[in-house]
Formats: sequence, C-alpha cells, structure tokens
Amino acid sequence: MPRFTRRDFLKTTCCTAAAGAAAAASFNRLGMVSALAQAASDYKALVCIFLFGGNDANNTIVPFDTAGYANYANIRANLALGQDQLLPIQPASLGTPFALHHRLAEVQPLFSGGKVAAVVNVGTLVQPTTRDQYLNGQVNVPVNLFSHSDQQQQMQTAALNTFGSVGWGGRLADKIQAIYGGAFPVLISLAGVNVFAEGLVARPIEASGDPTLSVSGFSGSAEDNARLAALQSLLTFDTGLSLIQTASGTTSNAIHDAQTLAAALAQGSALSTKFPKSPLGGQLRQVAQIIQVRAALGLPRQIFFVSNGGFDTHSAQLTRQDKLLRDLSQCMSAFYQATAEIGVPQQVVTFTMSDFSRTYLPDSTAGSDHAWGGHNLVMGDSVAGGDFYGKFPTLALGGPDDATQEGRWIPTTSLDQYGATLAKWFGVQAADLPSIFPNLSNFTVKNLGFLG
Amino acid sequence: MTRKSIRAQASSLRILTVGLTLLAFTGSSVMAGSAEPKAPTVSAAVAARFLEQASWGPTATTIAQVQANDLPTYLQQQFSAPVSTYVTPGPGNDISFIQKQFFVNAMQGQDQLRQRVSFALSEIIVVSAGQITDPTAFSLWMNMMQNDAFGNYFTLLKDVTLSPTMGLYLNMGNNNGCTLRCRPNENYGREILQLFSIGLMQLNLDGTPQLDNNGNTIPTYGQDTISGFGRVFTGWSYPAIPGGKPAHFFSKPYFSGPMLPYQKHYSKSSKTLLNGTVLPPNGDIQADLDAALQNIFNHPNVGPFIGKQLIQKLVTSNPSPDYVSRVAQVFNDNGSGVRGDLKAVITAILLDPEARRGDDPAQVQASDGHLREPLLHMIASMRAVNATTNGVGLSVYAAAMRQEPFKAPSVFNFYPPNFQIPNTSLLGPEFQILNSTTTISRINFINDLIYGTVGSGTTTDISAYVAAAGNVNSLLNMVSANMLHGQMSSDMRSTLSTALSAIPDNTRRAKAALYLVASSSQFQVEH
Repeated sequence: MPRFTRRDFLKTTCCTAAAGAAAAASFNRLGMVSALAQAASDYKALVCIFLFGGNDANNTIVPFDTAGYANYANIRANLALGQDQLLPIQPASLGTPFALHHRLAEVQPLFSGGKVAAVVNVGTLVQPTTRDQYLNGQVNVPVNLFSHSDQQQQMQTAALNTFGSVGWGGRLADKIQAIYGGAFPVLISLAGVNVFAEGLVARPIEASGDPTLSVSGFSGSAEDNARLAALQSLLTFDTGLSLIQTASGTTSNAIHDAQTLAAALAQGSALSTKFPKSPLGGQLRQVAQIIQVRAALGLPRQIFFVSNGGFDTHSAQLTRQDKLLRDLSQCMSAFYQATAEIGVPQQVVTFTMSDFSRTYLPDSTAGSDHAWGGHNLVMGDSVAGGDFYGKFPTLALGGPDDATQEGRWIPTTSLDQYGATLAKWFGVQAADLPSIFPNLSNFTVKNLGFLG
Repeated sequence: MTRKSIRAQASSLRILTVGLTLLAFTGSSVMAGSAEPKAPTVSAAVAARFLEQASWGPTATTIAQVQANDLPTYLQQQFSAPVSTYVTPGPGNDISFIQKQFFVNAMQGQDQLRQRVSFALSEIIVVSAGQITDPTAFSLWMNMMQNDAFGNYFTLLKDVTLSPTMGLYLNMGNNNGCTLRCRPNENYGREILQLFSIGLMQLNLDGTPQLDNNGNTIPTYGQDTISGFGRVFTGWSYPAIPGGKPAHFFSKPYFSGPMLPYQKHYSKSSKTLLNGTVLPPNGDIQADLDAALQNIFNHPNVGPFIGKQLIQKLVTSNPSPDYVSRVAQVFNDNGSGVRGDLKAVITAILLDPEARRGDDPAQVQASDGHLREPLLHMIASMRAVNATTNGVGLSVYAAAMRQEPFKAPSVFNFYPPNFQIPNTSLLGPEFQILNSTTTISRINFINDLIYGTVGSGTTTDISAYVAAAGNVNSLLNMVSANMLHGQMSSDMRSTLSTALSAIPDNTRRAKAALYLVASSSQFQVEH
C-alpha cells in the first residue's frame, strides 16, 4: 500500500488552492517568510538551468595568468583550450585573471558588466571535507558519488543520503505557499518531470513542450460534449489501484492547468527578444512569456526549471562542449534581455546546476570522466556579479582538492550554501533554511553573498 | 467501486468478439504454472491479461492462440517463433528506417514475446541514435538483442560488450590503455556495472538493499573498481570496413561483427574488479575480458537487479520482495544448474502467482500494475483496433510523448527503473515521462488514431466494434474484452453507457467507445 501523504490529502480533500494553503498551514509545515513581502509590486523568480550529463567546469572557467594557464595546458593536454581563444575575465575580488570558454561570448560582457557571477567548485557535500578526510573515510560524504542518476537527484533534492522524492525547489515552494501561493502552481518545470520541482505541499506543473496543450477533437457538439464529460468523469473514479489514480491525477491537473495558463498567456504580448531555436532557448522563451503575465496568474513568487542535456562528454569533448556552451551562452543572454524587456531584470535570478564536473585529466578518447565539484553561473541585476564566490580549487592531480589522482575536485562550497543563498534572496527566513537544506548547519557560511 | 463489484461485473460479461466465451470467474485464480494435466481451460479474460504482459497487446487472434492450449504452452510456442529481424539499411537511410521496422515488428510480428522482451532488454542495456547517426548500428544491435533475448545473460553481456554499437556509444571502441598524461576511458566500465548488471548497492536476493550496522546501504564498488574495469575495456577497435584499410587500432566505427582485440593497446596495469578480485598486470586481453565479464555475471546482484527490472517492464512496477526473490532464484539456477537462462527467467516472471493474481479481479492489490510506456500504449491501442502499419509517421507521436524509438536521451533510458511517484513510497518508472504535456499527447494520439490518421501507412479496422454497436452493452463487452481483459468496472461501464447512448450512429458510437477506453487511465495502466 502506498503511504498516505499530506499531499494526497490536499489533492483529495481540497477544492481550492486557498483551502489547500489553509490545510497546509494547519499542519504547521510552513515556515515564516520575510515580513511585508507581499507588497503588490513585489515579484521574484528563480530560474534553474540544469545541465544534464555533467558539464566540464574545467573548460568553462580557466586560469588565465601565465603560470595558471601553463599548468592547465600541461595537464589538460589535448583538452586544453588555446589561450588566444579564451575570453578573459577579471573577478573583482581576485588578483589573478581568469577566462571563460570561448563559446561563452555572450556571458563574458554580462560578467564584466556585473550581471553574472560564478560560484566556483560547488557540489554535494555533507560537511566540509578535505582530501585526507575523504580518503581515510573520516567524514560523511554523499552516497554514490560520480553516478549520474544519484548526483542529478542529489543536486535537485539536497538530500545526500537518501533517495527522496521531494526537491529543494519543491521545499522552497512549500515554505512560501501560505503567503505567496495562489490558485496556480508556484513551480513550473518546462523540462518534464524533475524531482527539483516536487514539494510536499506545493504541486508543480511539469511540461515538456507546450504547457498549454489541450485535448483535441471536441467540436462542441452535443455528442462531443457528452464524450468530453465522460472522459473527465473517468478521471475521477477511484479504481482502487494507486497507479491509475496517479495517472488520472496527472491528466486532470494537466487539463486544468493548460486552460489557466493559456488564458493568462492570452493577456501577454509577443516578446521582441529573439531566443535561439534550441530546446533550451524554447524553454527559456516560455519562462519569459509566463513571467510576462505574472499578474494574470496572481503569483508574486515563481520558480522555474529548464534544462539541456548532452554534457556527458566522455569523448570528442572539445567539439561537443563547444556547441553546448554556445547554446547556453546565447540562451542565457537572450533570457537576460527578455527580463529587461519585461522590466524584471532585478526580480529574476537565473542559476545553473549540473550532475557534477569532470576529471581534470583527460581520458584516452579525447574526453573526460565523472568528477565532483564544478563551477556554476548566476545571472540577474540583483546578482553582485563580475566576481567569483567560493574558493577556486587547486588544479593539481592528487593535490589538496583532488578526491583521487585524476582531478576530481572535492567541493569547497556546498550545494546547500549555494541553494540557501538563492532561497534567502527569494524570501525564506534564515531559520527555515535548514529544513530546505538539511546539511546547511554543517557549514559556517550560510550566505555566499552573491545576492548582496 | 469495490473489488466485489468488479468481480460481479466480470461475471456478468458474456459474449466476446469472434464468438469467444468468457468463462465466469469462480474466485480462485487460474494457476497457469501448475503442472496438473487437467488444467482448467484458459478464459478469454485470462488470456487477454496474459497477453498484455507477454505481447504488445492482445488481439482476438492471439487471445485464441493462448486459449487453444495454456499459458506455458503459449510461451514455448513463442520461444521458437520465427524472429522478425531488422533489415539492414541502405545508403541514404537514416534512423527512421529502423524506427519504422520497430513499429512493424511490434505491431505485426508473430514473435510477440520476443519483440516485447528484446525491447525491454534494450531499455536496460541502452544505446541511442541521439549520439550514433548510422542506422546500421541499430539494425545489427536489435538483431543481436532479439537473438539473445531467449539465450543466456552472460552471452548477452559479452555480445553487448563487443558490439561496435556499444563500443561507439560508451567509448570502449578505441579505448587505449595509455598511461602517459592519459588514462583509459571509464564510461563503459562504469555503466556496465551501474546499469547493465549489478547496480550501485549490494542487494539481497529479493532485490532489497543490504544495510550495514548503521542502517546505510552498502556500495557495490568504489572508484578503484571503476578505474579497474576502465582498464579491462581497453585495446578493442572496430572491424575493418570492407574495401577499406585492414583492421587496426583506431579504426573508424564500423558495425558489422564484433570489435577486435589489440594486445598492444591493452592496459598493462593490474585491474581491481568486484569482490576484491584483482587481475594481475600484463594479462591477456581476451582472457582478462572473459574473467572480468564472469566476475560481473557471477555477482549475486545480477539476478535481483535484472530480474526486478524485467518484472517492472512486463508485469508490475512494484513487485513484492518475494516475487523478485523467486525470479532471482531462477536466474541463479534454472533448475538444471544453469545461471542466467533468460527463457527460464521470463517464464518465471510471467507465470509467477503474483503476475497471475490479477487474473482474478478479487485478488488485485492496490500497488499492482504499471503505466504502459508511450510506445506500449500506442501499439496496444493500435492492435486493439486491428491496425496494420508500415510505421510511417508514428515516431513523431512517440517523440511528443518522450519515447522516440532508439532515441533515449542517455544510457539511462527514457525513464529510470527506480523513479518514485512523488510523495508516495510507490515506484512508477514510466511516470517519469508522464507530464502535463505528454499525458495530453497520449490522449491526442488516440484521437488521431480513432477519428483521423496517425500516418499514411496505418489503417485500422473497427468493423467488428461497429457491428456490435447497435447494442451499447455488446459494444462495451467487446471493448472490455479486448482492452481491459474483461474487467471494465461497473462505474466505468455506466459512464460510458450514458455517453454512448447519446450517439445514435453505430460507427460514431463505436469510435467514441474506443476513444474513451484507449485514452483512459484504466487502459493506460496495465494491471
């Protein structure tokens, strides 16, 4: 038998989202959210771009000082990017120069203009971990490191020792549901079902393609109306089989949400910002269009999840990552422009995550293998950009930050610190952060500062 | 709706398409595995439900085939049915050539069990045209999967390992045993363990994870083992291209025939394998490969790990530990001392009391069944309306439902076996690709199938349903028999009755019945 959950209760007993919120509050699951955050003009959105497969951070941000680049070129060998290709950046708080991958051409000016920051060597950590502690088993570490499925799951749940079905985006939505939640889900994934979006209270929309797709073939004739009524009636039956109920719930919600979203989007106008015609570009365009009609949806807080795949570059990495980062750069830039066009560049923060980074030492097929800590980008006018946050790893095989001998960097900043900084900006009280990020209490610094 | 009323409903059904009589349930399930000589005649309902699990969907013809004997005999017939092979593409063909054959074979192949099982295996051991563009890689791959589907799992593992298709997909091809500023690629070494054989955690025979004294799961391997297998899988390259250069290391990908060994490019280092086994330095490339594959194959996880996934694909997302254990025991020993006998494993899965308990509606458990994945939903629906197809146009629909054939997004398949339905303790692998868009896409495919067209080469024949449609009850009996193994619930029947009675035209009435059932969750979740 399935465990009966609060969410089931909410789904089956509540008729309105308001009732849902009230019921949720009665469970005392919801923490306090920053006071006075409900002003009519108040709006904030978080947009997660997940890079599936494990983006090679080592070629995303490269040391650019003479000694640093020489060390990089020596170890990375056939994976090393040419120094003359790289795009220089100067992190404000650091004395040495760095560079971005040459395909991050649109990100470079955003970084230099203070709209983009990098959070370096961030990854899943239970607690601060040194190489010696890791090798000698002296600290708890996340289970199943270097495994795609587990590390994707952990990056999305911040639960590092279990196989939870609730994401940190979902828990964040749960926290704000009572104050900011409305009739429409706070959380929208345009990359299909992803655990990041699943909450205990908050129900997400998870679409792949058109989130306003509706059932076709109904003309409005009496026969068709009877048929449509029958279709909808069948979705309400308690068949006694849990999986049938689940499928029916998904379909019912989809029909309802698509109608609501379509009605809201009809109030928007076409964006003049052009997006790349890639899957990621399409998803971010949809996010921008939804943000544009935020008033119609009545939501002062929204969380979005979009993704791209193909980052698992075990071979032919140079050409493959080239295409992927070019797309990412163009998509991020277009999305930033769209937020400016809509008038919310200060109110939207976009951030990247990936399974993990990749080995510094190349493999024998011109690629790299699964590693651990990596660099991520954060974008928006609220971001204290043009700088690095966290400690850049020592790029030495078997060095102080290497979990092995191949350059698998032990994160120097934890996912929990990264997520908590975003959540704090979003409006969650400091006291509530540990219930979203279970290992945050193991780290002294709770706010990395990239959002002021 | 109580179970009792489902049973009453089932008992009230009488006449079925092509004159088959549905035997009323007596309350005791039909034990198909029984060796009793006078086993009860298989009812049409039991046959239909069995075929939901053992084929791409029951048809009047296959229901009759099962009923002609019994379930074990049907399995034996299927084991020896001629294989629907994939034709090698010619120049100018792309992956759509293979995709069309997939639909044709699944729709019209007489080797339905092989089609279903080899597809299931191809979702456990995954290659993808997302990365490999030559369609020949996939015709050869699928012919291999189909040949090995009823063989031994070790043979399958070895064939997969030396397949140029896999060699290209997970980089074993031209993986050089270099050491200077370089190291062997770990991709195949990691995924053969994590996905194709043993998984990440030590398992009990019943598929549940073993726990240490602190209640934590126990990893099956560490990074040293991954590096070790990375080194084992070095030194192999592609067969020679006919008319081109002789085969050599660093050959370009060519897919016909197994990959070839090059001792000179085989890693000279020692290799840490599973369970503390270490292959000494300077081993022989072929002997080491066999030893390493035996090391994997003989790991106690393989039976429960692979067995449970096959159960999930064919029968239920949430098998009991006892069910997994029974299947794993057969994997470990088919009764004649042979490990890895897939025929025995498939038989054990399909004839297990837990697979068969739903033959008696009163015995159905709340967690039973599994969501038909998009391809299975599409094809079962098409078979129910007696469709014939040349496969044209169908992949577009499947893509919208996130299951374009041979285009899994990664080696992790279209969906993972351990996907947990949010906020429940239930697994529902196929639900990972049921989202607010795909759930509507599924319904809209049914709309096109019934009311429009799903491709220039697909035709349906619903004349039997139209002939029965003069009487709403007869129509519903037929639809229930073919699509819900005669177990349409009384409230579903009553709702459909109301809607259908408002439609005077027999063709439109039959279409409405087929549309509403094929799009329903009751049909989409096989149970």
